[in-house]
Amino acid sequence: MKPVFTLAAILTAVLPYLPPKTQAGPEFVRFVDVTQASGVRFKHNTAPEKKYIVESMSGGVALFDYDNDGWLDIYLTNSLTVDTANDAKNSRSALYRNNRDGTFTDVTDRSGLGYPGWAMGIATADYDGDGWIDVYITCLGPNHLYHNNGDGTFTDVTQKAGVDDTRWSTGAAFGDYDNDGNVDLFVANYVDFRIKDLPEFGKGKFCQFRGVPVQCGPRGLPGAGDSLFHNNGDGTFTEVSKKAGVSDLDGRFGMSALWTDLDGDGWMDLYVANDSGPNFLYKNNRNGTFNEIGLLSGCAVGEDGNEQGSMGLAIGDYNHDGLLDIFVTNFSDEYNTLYRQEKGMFFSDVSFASKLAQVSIPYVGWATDFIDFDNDGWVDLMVVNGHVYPQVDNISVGITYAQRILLFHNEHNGTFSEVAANCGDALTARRVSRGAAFGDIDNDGDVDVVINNLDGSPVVLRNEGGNKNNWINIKTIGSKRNREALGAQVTVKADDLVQVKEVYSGGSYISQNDTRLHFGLGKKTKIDLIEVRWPAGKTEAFRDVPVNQFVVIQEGKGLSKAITTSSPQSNK
Amino acid sequence: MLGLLRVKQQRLKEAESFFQSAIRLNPRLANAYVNLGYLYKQTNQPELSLRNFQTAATLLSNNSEPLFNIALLLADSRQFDKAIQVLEAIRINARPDDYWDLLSRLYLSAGNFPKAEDSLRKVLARKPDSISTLRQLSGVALKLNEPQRAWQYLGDAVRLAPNSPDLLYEFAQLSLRNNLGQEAVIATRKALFLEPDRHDFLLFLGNALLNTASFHDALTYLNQYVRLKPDDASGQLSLGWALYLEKDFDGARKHLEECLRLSPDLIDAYYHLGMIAYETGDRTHARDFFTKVVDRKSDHASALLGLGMIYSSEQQYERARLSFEASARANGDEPKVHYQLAQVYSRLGNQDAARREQGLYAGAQKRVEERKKLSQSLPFSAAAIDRSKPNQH
Repeated sequence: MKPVFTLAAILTAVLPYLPPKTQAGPEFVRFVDVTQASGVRFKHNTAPEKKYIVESMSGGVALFDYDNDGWLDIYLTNSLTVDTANDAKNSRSALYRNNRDGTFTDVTDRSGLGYPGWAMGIATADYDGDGWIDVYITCLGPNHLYHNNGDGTFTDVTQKAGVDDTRWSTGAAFGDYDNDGNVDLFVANYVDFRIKDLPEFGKGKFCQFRGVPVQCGPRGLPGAGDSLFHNNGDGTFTEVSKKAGVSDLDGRFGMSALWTDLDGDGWMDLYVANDSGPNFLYKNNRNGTFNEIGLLSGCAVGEDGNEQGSMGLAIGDYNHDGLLDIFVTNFSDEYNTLYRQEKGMFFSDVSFASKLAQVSIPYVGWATDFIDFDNDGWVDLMVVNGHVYPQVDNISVGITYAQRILLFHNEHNGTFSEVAANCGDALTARRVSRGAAFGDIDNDGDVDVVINNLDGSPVVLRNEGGNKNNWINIKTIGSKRNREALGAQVTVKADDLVQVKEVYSGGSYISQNDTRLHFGLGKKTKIDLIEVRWPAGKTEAFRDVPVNQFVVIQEGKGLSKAITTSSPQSNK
Repeated sequence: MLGLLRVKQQRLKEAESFFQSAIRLNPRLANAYVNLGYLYKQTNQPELSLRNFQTAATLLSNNSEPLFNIALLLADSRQFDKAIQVLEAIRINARPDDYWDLLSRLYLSAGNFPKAEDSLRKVLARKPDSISTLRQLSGVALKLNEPQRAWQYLGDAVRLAPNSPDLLYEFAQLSLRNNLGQEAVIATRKALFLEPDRHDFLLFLGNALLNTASFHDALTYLNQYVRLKPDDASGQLSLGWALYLEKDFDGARKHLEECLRLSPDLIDAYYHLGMIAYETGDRTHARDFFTKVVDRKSDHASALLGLGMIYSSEQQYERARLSFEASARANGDEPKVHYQLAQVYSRLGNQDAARREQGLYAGAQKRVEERKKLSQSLPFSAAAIDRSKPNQH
């Protein structure tokens, strides 16, 4: 009998759970768990056995400045369980206001954001251009759009705005796909799941993992299509997914989404990470419609054509070639995938060549982002992990339920080194993580992280030491109703260091990162040029900008300093 | 009567005389011709036997016995088509019990597998618990390149004889042929439980576990097999591959090299060594190993795929295209080769071909899913097959 195994088997090989190797890396950076000191006392609700897939997928995080004080606040979504689903009050999501001193205050009750139901994820944007960031929360059941009233309170305007989606929604992302100046909303939906018709735990092929009964799905369950809500500019939206060609007629299991101008033509394309199926890349046809080109462009499946169980999503230019690349986190026995963009909107899976794949195989990857955690001018990658089956701890397969964080340092040559063990015990602790949001929560010039965990409390990880290198943090403000300038592309040139970033809503895994753009600058002491390509296509340039500052660039009105003082936690 | 008595007494010459005398007395005495036919058959005189049965057949139009024997004699002389014609001439109500059995064998001998399957299904309708018929049906389905149907027939046989190690082993092999790895594992585990000393079961179980990505589990059985049969190259090959999948590259190389020492022609060992090199980033050696495989077996689909991926990563898209196309010719049911071809055509600007390959990729993926669904319903419940469904040839 000839064992014929090809690339698929290799790529799905199970690695023993090895401790991370010590690698050379940015040893001056530590991520410190400051959750206790921060005053964030949230606890995510889940059923311990995770008998149903819907009990394994929640846990979004948002870092956004809801009160416009220049400091990032935290929102954490919470879920119900099959047993408590009858009353939305059984689960409380939470908003924490940043006190600007390293602590946060729970302002949920006053805000009105506490009980959206069986909440999954969150995306934020100022959809009506009033200067205050609004919140869209995806749920199992009706989603919610909360309008920010500007006084610390929010009003549920879902019905009035027409952005309800009663399916099981996961990732959402705002972006102006038709360049009319209004931010539209894409919502990815996952499984057509009904509480009244639960799949029986452990029954059937798709309810087994290595011979052990586990929750069913998503394979074997019906998928749900996706939604695209066009912003009419008057506070209402119109659902146009079918007309636009992004409705997902096949019912893939949608997870995370980002609007991004991958080909630099000034029109937002859309990437959707799907669980257990090919991912979508929708190319914008510039007429309100899209063509799905994921497979042909090489960014839908693994390099050998295997469909992957994709969860989280990040987009960034890791190799400084000016083209945006795509990183997707995947299920265990697969590998996290880095698609390097080449000319002509083609992508190559360079996961193994970049050394990102090998170590990731035993992990179920969720939230992720290209962050330059050591400010050396090259974006790194963080991935938070955690399996979906608690039952894996009962079998000896080299995989655990709780899993540590992976932190990949960019080696500036197309490869990454996994350095979590060098960057603090907080990264090697095992958790069952899901969503995470990345941003500078203490305004000290480096990127921090907030992670939402099942079966436990969230974790606030403060970056200590990242700001030993130079940096700049840029907030963009658009001239039209797209106030955050979602989709703006900013290029920062400092000597030979050239970086490109885009302003995103959504991404990571069902989470919202800081929309301010953070650029590490290494030892560069001056920025030669900041170039902003605004969503409508206009370009502005700013020369000889000092480093280590927060700036605001307002379309047509120039660059100004935003914040000049660091928080008390600054450790530079 | 005297003739028959002599036959019983094995006094065949005398018996022949009695039968011939009877015919001289009554040339239309059909039974005498029949008896002579049997006698000549017994004394290995097929032509004389045939002639007498033929005469009997003309005299006994309502009796199938002469025709049945004519068919047997024609079959013995490898005149299968004529034999089938003779059998088919027997009237329905005169057909003996083993009529369909013989007819199925004749169709098999004549290479007419669809008709053979039809005949065997008629045998099965009369003897639904016949394991040998189910095994034959399974074999015929394999001849018809219908491994899924073959698996279903054998599944029925396993249901009837669930404790037959050999039947379980055959079922396991067919399961793997159908990419139903879990079923193969379950069946082989049971066979091994019933006959723990069977080396072939150990090796097969190890390979089946590899097929289900249970690499760690596979190692247990493959190590056991290699300890018992260290000089068997195929065991070394499987163990080497299992170790590779467990990322023990040094151990894997050791066994793959031992495999090649024992059997230099076992080119899959080169392929596996190539994959080790590929994954460890050593594209040069990967290319060398894959090339070695292709030099020896120009239609080795996996090695061609590997070569294509190396060319593709080097942006040598034209060379990649040729490799992928050759791989697709060797195994067109593999989704990943169509995916790679779509990528390469797209990069070469041939969008029509790219879309065609994308469609083939989707189709192949769908078949993978269908196989999973088939497997989903029934380990060991192949009895679920609906026998009333007509064959689709």
